[in-house]
Amino acid sequence: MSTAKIVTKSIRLDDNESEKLKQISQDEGVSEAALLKRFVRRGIAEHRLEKAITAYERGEADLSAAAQYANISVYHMMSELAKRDIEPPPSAEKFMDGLKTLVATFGGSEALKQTISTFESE
Amino acid sequence: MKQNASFDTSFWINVCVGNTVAYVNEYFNLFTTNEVAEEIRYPLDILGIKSQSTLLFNKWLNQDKITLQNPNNPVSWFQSGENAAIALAIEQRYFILIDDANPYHRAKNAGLSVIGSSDFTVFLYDQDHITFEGAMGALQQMQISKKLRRTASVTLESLKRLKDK
Repeated sequence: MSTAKIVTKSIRLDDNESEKLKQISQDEGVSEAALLKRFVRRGIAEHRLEKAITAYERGEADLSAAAQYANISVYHMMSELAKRDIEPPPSAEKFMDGLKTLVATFGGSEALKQTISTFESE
Repeated sequence: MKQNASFDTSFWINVCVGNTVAYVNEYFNLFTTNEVAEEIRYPLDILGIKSQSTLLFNKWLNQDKITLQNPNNPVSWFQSGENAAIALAIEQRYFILIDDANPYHRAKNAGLSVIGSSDFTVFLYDQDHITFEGAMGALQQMQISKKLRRTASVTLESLKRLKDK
């Protein structure tokens, strides 16, 4: 059984907002209170996701920490970052360095060595 | 000769979705930490989603293709997952297989050999494990930025031109 304390919050809506809420409530057959709670939950989740993405983009958080803060899986966070085309600055350098490490460790064709050398000289 | 390597969640997910995971074990003896295992199992354990990457991870653990090993002193560069994977690599002098670029410079400064799924894909094409189309397909499937995908694709195309000569 949940021991979470329930707190009541009241909000003020203008006529337009109130009417829209009423309409959705009728359309979906859900009480306005339940709808508001759903919207608040979604809003909080969205807010935390945006904060996590910003922190990741600035290099303040790694992927795990960002996912943890947003309360989503690492896969979900990777997908959100890819969708927004967010990549930390060292990614291209990391890519080429990884390729060089693989060649140095396991060997590679002359073609691959030449490709790496061409990219490095550019 | 196979190298020992610690890996993180991002690398594991991308080699799984890119369908290159089978080759990882040909080049590396794989080690990972409890933190990373928890992250990889999150879809199944918390969300109840039977994702391919989680199921394969559990299978490889059962088959001893992956060994769970934890660092004695986790680094505290950021907050969690990657820290444990990197700390293990530093303590044991393992390679680090990681796609997250944020901890890259610190990992390099700690003397680690850092490999990512996109560079591994290009390498697999060079070694004739996968075709050019297979490598391109893998890069398309991976959760990486357009910029990195473009860099890897251009590298792959240049390599193909030289190999075809």
